[in-house]
Amino acid sequence: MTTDVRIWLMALMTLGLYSYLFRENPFFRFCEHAYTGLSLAHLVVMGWTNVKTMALTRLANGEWATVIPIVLGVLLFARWFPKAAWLSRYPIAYLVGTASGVTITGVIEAGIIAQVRAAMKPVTNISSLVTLLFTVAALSVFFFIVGNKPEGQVGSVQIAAWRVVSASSYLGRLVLMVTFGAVFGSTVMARLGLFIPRLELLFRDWIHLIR
Amino acid sequence: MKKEGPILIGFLTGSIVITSYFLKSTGLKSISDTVVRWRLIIAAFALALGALNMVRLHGKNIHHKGRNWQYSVVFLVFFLPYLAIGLIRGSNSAQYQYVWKSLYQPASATMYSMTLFYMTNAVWRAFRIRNLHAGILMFTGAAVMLGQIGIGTAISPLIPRFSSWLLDTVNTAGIRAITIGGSLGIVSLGLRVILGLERSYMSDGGN
Repeated sequence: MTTDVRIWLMALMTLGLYSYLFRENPFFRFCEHAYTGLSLAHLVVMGWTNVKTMALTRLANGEWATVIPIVLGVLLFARWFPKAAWLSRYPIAYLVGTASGVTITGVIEAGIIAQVRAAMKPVTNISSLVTLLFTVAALSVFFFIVGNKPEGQVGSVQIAAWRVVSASSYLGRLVLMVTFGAVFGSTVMARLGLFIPRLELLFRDWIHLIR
Repeated sequence: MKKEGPILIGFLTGSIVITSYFLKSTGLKSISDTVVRWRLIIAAFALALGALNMVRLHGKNIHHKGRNWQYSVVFLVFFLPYLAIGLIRGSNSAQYQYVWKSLYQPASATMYSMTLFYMTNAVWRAFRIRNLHAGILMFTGAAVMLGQIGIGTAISPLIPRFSSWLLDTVNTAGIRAITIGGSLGIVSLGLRVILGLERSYMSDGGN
């Protein structure tokens, strides 16, 4: 068994958190609260670093406009005073509005344009044809809600269109099932990749059971 | 002022960021960059508010000897010294990095790896073949997992090839469709927020 204090700390933290798999116990709750405390402290330290580099340094250099986000940030604390709590809506609206703008632009670029561009590449082999057809089929699950077969006085074109969309939507559901299965398999393997180093820590580095 | 002001702020900030994306104007881009940078400063204050709330909550629990107050002590014992080290000596200091590598990193990896056990439990429930869809889900999941481990190759060298074909072809198509569909949803929700139609973020800031 190792005498390295750091390995002991790592092993005890790992064991404490894994003990929850048996059932909730004081050892787990101790490690859980320690982890929460460390996580929060780290976040605050990172936040302080941002304030220092993006606000205080710029203020010191004469960028007086930086006072605005500082004032908005302080307004967040108005939530503690019921009569002035509405003031905290301003910084929250700023955060939400900016986040919406950043997300929309990022999503348009990476989630729509890049994906559509990748889907519209020239078909060079069977696999690329399959990918294209399956993409259209899976999209039809999201964008065409296929209801019951049209009844009454409807034209043959409408019936044919309904059949095409219905068949595409059915194929799309199968594609999505394959996707969910693949994502599931990949995620399990990724988590296994995190679990194995934990076992190595416990059985190799800590108690030297394996080499 | 209580409602219209925040909606106007949300509209202006969101509009500046979006407009600067579509119009290639250097001046507008500079304003947009400033707006986005200020967001990080305000977010840091939000973190400080959250941290102070946690300290108040745990402090009250210890003061009143509330339920499981001992764990509140544990929280503060780990939170306050680590925060002090980070603020005084910086996040690159040896002491900060020692705690980071000895406690935070293993705890973080352990928490993530624990989901493996819950996923195994989910496999037991989800992989019962009740219909064609569930069968496809099970078959694909098993093929992808077998394709990534040595035993898959030992059973048949075709398994890893089939697994990578599934991931590159069918999975790509499905993920692409989900991404496009989800992105359109995100854009519509974001526009609702910017236009002031979605106001749930203002529900807890007084009347």
